[in-house]
Amino acid sequence: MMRIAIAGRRPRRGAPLTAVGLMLCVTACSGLLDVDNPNSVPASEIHNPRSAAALLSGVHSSVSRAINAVTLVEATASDELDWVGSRDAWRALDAGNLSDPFNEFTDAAFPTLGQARWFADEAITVMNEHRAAGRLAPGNVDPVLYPRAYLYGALAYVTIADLFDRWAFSDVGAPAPAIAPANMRQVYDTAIVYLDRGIQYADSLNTAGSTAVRPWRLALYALRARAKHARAIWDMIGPVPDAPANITNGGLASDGGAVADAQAAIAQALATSSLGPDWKLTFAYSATTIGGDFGTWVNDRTEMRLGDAYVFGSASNKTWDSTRVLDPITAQRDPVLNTTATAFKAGSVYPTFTALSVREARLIVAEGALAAGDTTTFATQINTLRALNTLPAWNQATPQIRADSLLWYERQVNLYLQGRRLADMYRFGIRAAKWQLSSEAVTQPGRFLPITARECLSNPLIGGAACRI
Amino acid sequence: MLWSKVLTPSFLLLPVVLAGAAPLSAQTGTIRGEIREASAQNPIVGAQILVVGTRLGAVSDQQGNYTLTNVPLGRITVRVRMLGYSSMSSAVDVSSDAPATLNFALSPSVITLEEVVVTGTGGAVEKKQLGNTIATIDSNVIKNAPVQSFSEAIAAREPGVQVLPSSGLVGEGARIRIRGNASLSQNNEPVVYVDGVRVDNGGGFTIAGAGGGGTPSRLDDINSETIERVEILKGAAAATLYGSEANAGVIQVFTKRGTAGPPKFSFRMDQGISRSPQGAFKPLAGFARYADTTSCIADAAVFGRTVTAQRTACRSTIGVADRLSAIYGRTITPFQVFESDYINDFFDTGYYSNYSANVSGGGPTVIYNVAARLNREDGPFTVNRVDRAALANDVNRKTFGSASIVLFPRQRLQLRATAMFTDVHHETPNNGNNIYGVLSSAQNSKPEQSDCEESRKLGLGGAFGQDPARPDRCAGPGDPSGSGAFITPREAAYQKVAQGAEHFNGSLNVNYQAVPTVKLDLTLGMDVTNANDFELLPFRYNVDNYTTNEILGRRTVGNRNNRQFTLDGKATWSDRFSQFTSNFVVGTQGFVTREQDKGGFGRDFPGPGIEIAGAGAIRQIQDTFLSIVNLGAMAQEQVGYHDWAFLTLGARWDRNSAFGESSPWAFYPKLSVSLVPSDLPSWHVPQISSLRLRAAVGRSGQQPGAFDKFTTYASLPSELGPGFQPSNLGNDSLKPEVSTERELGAEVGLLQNRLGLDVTWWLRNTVDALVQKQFPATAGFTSPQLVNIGWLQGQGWDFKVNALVVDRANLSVNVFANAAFLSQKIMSMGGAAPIKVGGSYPRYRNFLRGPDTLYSAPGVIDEIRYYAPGSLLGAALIPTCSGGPIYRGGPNVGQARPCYTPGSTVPYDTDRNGQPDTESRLQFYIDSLRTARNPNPLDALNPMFDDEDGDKDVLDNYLGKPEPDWQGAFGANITLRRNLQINVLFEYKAGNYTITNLTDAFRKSSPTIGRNVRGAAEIEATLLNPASTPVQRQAAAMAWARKYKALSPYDGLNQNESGDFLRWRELGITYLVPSSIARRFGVDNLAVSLTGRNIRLWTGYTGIDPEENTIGRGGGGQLDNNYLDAVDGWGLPLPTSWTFSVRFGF
Repeated sequence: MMRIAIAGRRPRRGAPLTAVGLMLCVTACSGLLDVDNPNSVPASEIHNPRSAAALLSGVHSSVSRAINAVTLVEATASDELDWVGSRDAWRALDAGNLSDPFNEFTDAAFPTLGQARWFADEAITVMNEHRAAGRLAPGNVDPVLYPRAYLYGALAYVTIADLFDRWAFSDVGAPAPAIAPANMRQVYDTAIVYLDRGIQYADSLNTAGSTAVRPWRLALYALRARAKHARAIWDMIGPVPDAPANITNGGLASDGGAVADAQAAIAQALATSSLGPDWKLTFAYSATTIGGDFGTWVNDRTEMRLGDAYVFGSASNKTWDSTRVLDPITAQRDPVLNTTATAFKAGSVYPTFTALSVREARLIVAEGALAAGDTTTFATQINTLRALNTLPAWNQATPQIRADSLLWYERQVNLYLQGRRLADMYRFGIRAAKWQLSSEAVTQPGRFLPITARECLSNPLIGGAACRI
Repeated sequence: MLWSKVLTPSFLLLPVVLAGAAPLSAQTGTIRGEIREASAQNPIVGAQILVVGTRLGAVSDQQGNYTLTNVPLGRITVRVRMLGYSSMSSAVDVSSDAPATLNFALSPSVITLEEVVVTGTGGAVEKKQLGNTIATIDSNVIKNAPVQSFSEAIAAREPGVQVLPSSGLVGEGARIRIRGNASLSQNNEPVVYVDGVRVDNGGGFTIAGAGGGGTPSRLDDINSETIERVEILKGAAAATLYGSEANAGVIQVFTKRGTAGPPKFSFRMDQGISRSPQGAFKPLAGFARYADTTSCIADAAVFGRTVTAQRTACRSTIGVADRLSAIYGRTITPFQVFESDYINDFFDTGYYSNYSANVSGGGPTVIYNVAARLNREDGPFTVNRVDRAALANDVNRKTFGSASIVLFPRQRLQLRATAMFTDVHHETPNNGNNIYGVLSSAQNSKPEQSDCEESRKLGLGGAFGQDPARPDRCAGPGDPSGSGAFITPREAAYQKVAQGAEHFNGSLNVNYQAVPTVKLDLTLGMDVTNANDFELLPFRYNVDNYTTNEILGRRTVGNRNNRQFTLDGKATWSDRFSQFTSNFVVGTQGFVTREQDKGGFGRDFPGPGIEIAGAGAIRQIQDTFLSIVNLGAMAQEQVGYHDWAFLTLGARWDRNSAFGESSPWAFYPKLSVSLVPSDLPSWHVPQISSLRLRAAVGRSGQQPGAFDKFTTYASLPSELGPGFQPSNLGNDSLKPEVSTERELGAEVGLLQNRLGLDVTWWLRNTVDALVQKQFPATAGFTSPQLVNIGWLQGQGWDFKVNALVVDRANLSVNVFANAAFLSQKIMSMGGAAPIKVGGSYPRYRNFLRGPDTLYSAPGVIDEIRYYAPGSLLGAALIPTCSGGPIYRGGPNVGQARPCYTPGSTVPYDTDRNGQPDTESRLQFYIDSLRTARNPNPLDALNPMFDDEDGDKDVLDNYLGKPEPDWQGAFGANITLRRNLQINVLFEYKAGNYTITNLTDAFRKSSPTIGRNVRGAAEIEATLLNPASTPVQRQAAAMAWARKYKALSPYDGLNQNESGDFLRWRELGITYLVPSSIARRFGVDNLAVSLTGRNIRLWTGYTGIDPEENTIGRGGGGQLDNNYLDAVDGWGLPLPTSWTFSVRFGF
């Protein structure tokens, strides 16, 4: 290095040292490193009583998003939707192949339900903390949040049991092994235990005169009826693929508890004017809350459209012009399906999703009666249901259609796009025209969705090999 | 001027120059002289002249003259340095009586060991003293080149510096990679500084966007015409002093400062045109199934439709010859494949203009440089030929302004202030892998589905609604392209995407020579970007009554405000101790980044004309904030021995806000050695004029995202009120990943430094690499979490050759070549599952995957296969039996795996017995497909998957890697008769370079959007045509399996091709008008140029363009930006452009 020579001034050696000192001071300013994150809620907040309402609101969204997402997959595999788009993974489902863990859409829907289940359980834990600490009181933590937590938890569990062959109940930092298909019945059991607890607390609030609890109490009863009914269906088709389907009694499910809960739900709906005889628990979607997969994929991207079994396709075949389902008694266009399909289309990106309804409760009671040979009760329930749309009654004495066929039909139109169809097709032996003959839906009726790649590749207790069944 | 004759940055010596102007003593004299080339005798402009042993100096002017004043009397040694020439010293006697004359004739040299650099070195230092590489690009290199942007300025100049364009859309920024990727999850873009101030190196759009391409880069906001010089640190060994943000390398841009003297004005005007290359897009191919509508309707049962539905379909979605003949204006017969060139209607000649002005000058106490530039380009994409009312555009307008002022208020004090401002307006069409893209919908169209039914319904046009004047158009609404789904190209062209951005960069630098051996330097600066984007779908933009997508309109708006603050201070103590020199540097750096992103959309407008987000019936808003603080301290000691051996030892200590205020210091050391034996007095090797050997090892790091450490919940409102959901899992033990790089190299000058060789070997290990590990979704947190578990290794060679082949008065020829070899391996993923790039979209097959063990027999390890990051994994067809393929893993390891024998068996298993079919069985199956229930027989013709590793995952076959082994450039600079300069530059990539040709995968295979290349259409027509023979149908089935079948569930099959290419990147022909003539026009200098860019491409790649990529800079998530490489996804080819330029000054 060349030495720099300069004449004149005396060196001022203090200046550089001061400068260096100042520089080093800058690096010692640790306070600068404490940066706020205004974008997220810290983990500790979920236990804060003041966050309880937001916690349950988040769980509500999480559960409703998950149900929407996985039901779209189910609806595509059933005859409710037909694939008319460009993405082959939808086509695989459409053809009746459900078990591919790498199917991108199944794999995308899976984590939404994974999160919803865990988050709902976490909310139950937090709400129990609040309850144990005596915080459930007006002005503090709204007591209605407590049964709501159980409702959401049960909804997640019932959806898992309805639509998946296997599941794993992991916790943060604690992966869990998968429950085998033959043991998935216990998922319904857990849901029913949750509902028992929720109903117990909701009943007590109702007895204490709470009006705010009534719609949630009704939902809890309606869901317990559905859970018990679905468990009875599972007994016939659920253990697939561990065991072949064992359809009995023409596929009719009979569960006394389900009927009792359904009747209780019907009674509550009729007794409360704000709920009414056609009460539904619906989930709404919007730009300011959460979006739903149904609206995005069907109404917006038009990857699927309502199925040929339900509608006449448009000229481009990307959407539909009119519904084609005819009421078996009037032989006229079915108003229930038409209303549902029209509302779904009008909902554009954000169609409403129906999770529970009095209609379903009546169908459960009717099916229980039919399974027991009680066509009078069956007729009462079915005709009350039909009267909601001013449809003529089914004549028990001179039936215009077989009772079981009518039940199939009423379930098809009243539960359209609610995630019940595939199980009904399996148990009633209905085969979609679009299913390939070699597909799982045809060769293994009872087959539902798998634990997908995202889970089995990341969960060491499941292992990657499970992705290749 | 030789291409390699770059100027030493004169600003580094400005204090010296000015000191020369200040009186020091009454007893002084003056030295004058001229600097010329030894052979050609051309004047050398900008050479540095130093009085040895003093700070006195000067810079030669336009005529090569210099003057040194205030020179001490007596015998004085003067040294001249100029890059591109050998330095030279000479002595002269100086007296006070008269000026002494001392002329120099410099010999050219292609070796640049004495070039002075400052980046990552702690202070100005000659390259020869460094043990690591620093690449430099000087403004003279790009002055005559067809360069419009910063990205183009640095492209193909240096081995190992990759500039990756993504498409031919104008204003699109390029991704930059230096020696590949240093991180598996973090930003692999280098950190960029302008005059010591860190700049926003982001890019892309905010929440608005166009689908992949056309994404601008904030680095292109740097005015390429104000660049004096660029220095590039290629890796950790060189970039250690930049600490926790320098894994991916460092680029520093120095802007022009001007020189003392009267104002000098210079101007430049460019006018250019651009064209998309002919033949880049394959024609759309299809065929008619029926002669007329009646026969089509009669086949309703074949399609499982009612007669009514079939009638509708026959009028629109099924090829019927009479309709097609009317629409295309030519005779089309059933099952005869015909073609449409509809895509070409979206291309025309693009235009480019550029105007710039610069003034510089100054005096003893101040120098300045002020520049302004207007730049406008309208690319070859156009919608005018389809619909003049459509909104999509491909334009880019930029206004640049910059100023630099340097003050010398005291003899040892220098103050510099700079300001740079850029205003951008950028528009791009919806493009790329986007179902609503203009060219994607055009390329996916099926010509047999051409349909003017909407016009016919309105009674417009001919019998089929076609426009009688232009048969391939509809008279009104309709779908003349035959879109398979989603949107017609014309409707897509009604969408508009635009960005407006303002970018400011400013700095204040203080440089103080406290004592003769100590210098203090402080830089403060800020960089502010404010970018506003929008995407507009006008009300009822479905002009063809086709699309159902948001037909009531939508406007999405986004704003990105990025502010970066820089504080950089250092003290340098330089001294000599006998035969040793010492250069000690200590300093500190602080960077604060604050970014706010906000935006939203409003959709469903109440009526036409209203186009604001707030008018939408459905609205949404987003707002996020980011703050990152990085504080560091560095120290470095460099010891020199006899000016030929140098040892450098340094370190950086770092803290980052990602780890909070209690975080420990991160420590990054470095060590390097440089030996220049040719500088030894005893050096006597005639063949070797210069020789340097160097070695370096150093570390740098990369911190994770600002808030990655914390467990957090994100907002998730419901219909019942505000809410939240699990978001970031969190990781308390998160720390920076660390790259350690070793580098060995040598530079050799032969034949009197007319032939220069530069070779560097490097090895980089990134340990504690941050991996985006997916945890079980059933545990609640579904997003991947960063964990320090990876190990990424890269190694390579950089080669440079530079030769002055001819150096005569009337002709000089300089040829050069560079090459970089790159090998990258993921040594470990820490047990994490393979990570797929591109989200869940199965057709992107780039993966991050740890090593695999493959066996030739049970227990016999055949190979441990390491994967390059971004490797392609996907489906493969079963092999032929000729090689005796065996399972290389799984329960059947070592046993024969399914294969077929051409001539007897085929790669199909239609009877599902697990074995390839015989040819006769396939024939039987094909015949059965032609029954009533199979209107699309190809959809049921599914070949057999291969499964080499026997793990039953048929989508994990290794299909190649998206980075070439070799890439580089070569070219020549020729000067004829001193005035005519010709510059050519070629760029290439080769060796194990695989491109995912997704565009053609769709165009070959997709039944709804695609299957429209001639081969695929012919196969389908053959299978459907009742007149085809069994032999023809079997041949078609074989071709289907081996060449055309693609997409899910066969993702990866038949979609990968070699991407090797050679591109004639640049041509510059410049005529320097002789001064005598220039003065007649009233100017001192005048030059005219004709330049061309992307002139010709040689490649075996059959897709659109081997440099096209499905996302551009900042066009996706971080993982995609890093590794979604070499994916051809409906982009535009790089256009060929020609520009005429005039430069003059006075």
